[in-house]
Amino acid sequence: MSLRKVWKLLRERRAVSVAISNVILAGAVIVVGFVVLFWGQSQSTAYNNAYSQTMSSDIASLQEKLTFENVFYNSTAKNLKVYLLNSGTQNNVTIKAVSVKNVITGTYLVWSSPVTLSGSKQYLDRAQEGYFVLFVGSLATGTRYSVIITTGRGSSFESTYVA
Amino acid sequence: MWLRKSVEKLTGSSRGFSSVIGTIFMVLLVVTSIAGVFLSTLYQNTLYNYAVRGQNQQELDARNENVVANGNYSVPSPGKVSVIANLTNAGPVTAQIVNLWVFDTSKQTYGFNNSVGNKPWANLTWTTLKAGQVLKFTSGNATKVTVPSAVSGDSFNIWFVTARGNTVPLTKSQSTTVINAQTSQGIGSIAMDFNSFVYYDVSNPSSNKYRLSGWPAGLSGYVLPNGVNIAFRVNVTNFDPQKRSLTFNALSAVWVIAQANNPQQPLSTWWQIVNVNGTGWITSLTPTTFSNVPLTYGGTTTLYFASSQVLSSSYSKNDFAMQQFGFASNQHPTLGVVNLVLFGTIGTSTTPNYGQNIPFVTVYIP
Repeated sequence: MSLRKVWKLLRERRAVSVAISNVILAGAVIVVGFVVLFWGQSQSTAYNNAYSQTMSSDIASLQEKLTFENVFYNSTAKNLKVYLLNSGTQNNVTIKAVSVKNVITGTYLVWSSPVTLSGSKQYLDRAQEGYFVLFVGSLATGTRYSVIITTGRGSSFESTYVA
Repeated sequence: MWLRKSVEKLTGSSRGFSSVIGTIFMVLLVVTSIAGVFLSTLYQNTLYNYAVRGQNQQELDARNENVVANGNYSVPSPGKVSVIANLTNAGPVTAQIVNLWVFDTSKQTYGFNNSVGNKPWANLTWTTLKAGQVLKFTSGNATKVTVPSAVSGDSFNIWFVTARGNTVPLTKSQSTTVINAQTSQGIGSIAMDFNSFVYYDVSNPSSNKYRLSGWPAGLSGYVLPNGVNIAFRVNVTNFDPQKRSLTFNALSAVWVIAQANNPQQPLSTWWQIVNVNGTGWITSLTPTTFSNVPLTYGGTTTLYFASSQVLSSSYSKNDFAMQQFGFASNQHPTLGVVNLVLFGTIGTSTTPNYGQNIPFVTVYIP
């Protein structure tokens, strides 16, 4: 394009305004387009991350398994000693809460959180055993009670015993 | 032709061309974004499916696990329960024993032994049972569990725990135990194995050293030589109806009474109990070196009798001396009756409170 033509274009006010408006419009469209694109990307990434975390948590929870080796009620100390074995495939199984329920009446006697495991380690790795002691007060002899354990990952395990 | 014209027409118009490119880019971006979300979701779902499948398999394995524990228990000393069991894996999957629980229902006390999983004698890092395998906890390697206040005569619930979280209750060997216990209640607490009755020639290769020749097999004990230093071996099993442990002291012996061609004056010869080490050497050569022989309930032990002297500090105070039949030429051949004379303690007593005489075999001295 020669200098004369540029000069002519610049002197033609209508043409300049159309060009500028087109540039502005195109720029705005590009910017808004990129904003929408990045927003969409971030939303999908956030969704992916959240879904991934939920799935990992669900899988870990699914793979947790606690076995009640023994539940013993000490009528003198009025406490319950619960021996556990991590028989699942997940390490680092923590106990978040324990409740004791009368099976016949359905009433909850104790709800305890947090629960302190024996020893300094407050979690059970695979194939590890541990126990905790829970003060439950007087229990009726011959009555069925159930101990319900909720783990840190949200799994629930239950065992019944007769006091 | 038509395509060529269309492309030329499209590329000839810059406005239309840029719109198409822009649309393609937009569609690509949208498709990429959606595909990313879709693939990621698919991947997570696959992971979850794998986990569910694995968990289902584990549940299935746990359900298929079938270990049978058959055996018995004894209380050799207060607070200690000894469990003898045959663990049979009757299921199709490998099982691992991680713990043994003993609950004393009489005293409401309990104990466990979680070192049961590590048994060097079984050549196993863990007590792993393959399908069909049998693991024997015999008297020599019975599993001991500390149970506060437990004594003989208490009732116990005993169960093993597997790594999959299944519990295996110990079933008592009723069929033989009850019969044996009832039998032994009639004649005493000890039963003897006839097949294990053998004799050894005793050699004296150097001063104060005595060895059982042909140990451990020995020679059949039913025909015995005259004028040769010999020793006897017999296996005994504790079937005490009250499931107590026994200890045999130095007064225990084998007593042979032979007719010796004179029924009015039978000849008797005594072989006192001795200790023999793992290579067939007699180790109790003085009263102070003799060790009482313990026998837990349900267990079997081997007893050796070789000394003409009682190896007891409080009895004869004599040292070991070899023993033999010393019949004169007109006193044999003859028959002899053999009595197993057992003496010692039973249960928790520290003073002698047990004695049993088992007239068990007839021998021939040519």
